[in-house]
Amino acid sequence: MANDGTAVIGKAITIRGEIEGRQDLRVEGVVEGHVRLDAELVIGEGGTVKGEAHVAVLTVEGHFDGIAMTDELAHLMPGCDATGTITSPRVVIEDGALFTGTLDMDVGAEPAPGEARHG
Amino acid sequence: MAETTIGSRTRIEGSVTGRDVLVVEGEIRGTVTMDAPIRIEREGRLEAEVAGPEVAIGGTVQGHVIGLKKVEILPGARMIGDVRTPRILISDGAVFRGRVDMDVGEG
Repeated sequence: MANDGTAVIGKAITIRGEIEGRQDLRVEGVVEGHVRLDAELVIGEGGTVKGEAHVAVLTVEGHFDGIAMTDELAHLMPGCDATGTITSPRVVIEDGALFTGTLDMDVGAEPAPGEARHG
Repeated sequence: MAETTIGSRTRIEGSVTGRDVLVVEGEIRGTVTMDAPIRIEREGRLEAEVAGPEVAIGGTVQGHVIGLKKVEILPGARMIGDVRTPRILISDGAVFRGRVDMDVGEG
């Protein structure tokens, strides 16, 4: 994804509120609230995001607790600890990742039971 | 270890239990409880409660899956339901809809 580098929220930073952006964001500190990105959100090892994330790609190396919706991919890395709901067309969970919650990858694959497809 | 294969033209309704590796290429409706690894191949279809030490899903599963050690969801798999296991791997290209519970106390 072409953009101007990666924004970083450092280890000693806590943000409560909303973050919006069009470049990749790496969280090494703590974010509580809502993250909305047209790019990749990386929650680094030791980083925490609590709340909602609407992003193109989510990569979790640290802690995530909340609701994540991605346009492309959610990637849970070894050593991460994620809780909540992930809706994404693609989800990869690596060996050694921890996840408790709900996964919904059935995005546009076929209509849910009882749901009519309108063309 | 011996291996039991439910072939692609076989359909079972009821319960399957055992101590051998179970490979499913056909269809099972009911319960599957094994003391050995369970492997659901690409053509395999389960509408079942599945429990075993290790469960590898390459086909279609609708139901609850318990992997006492590990659950693996492979590319091309389609899993609808809940998974309970201390260790899970989901490959790119798998489809999963349901809950994952890894909240298994260690030690």
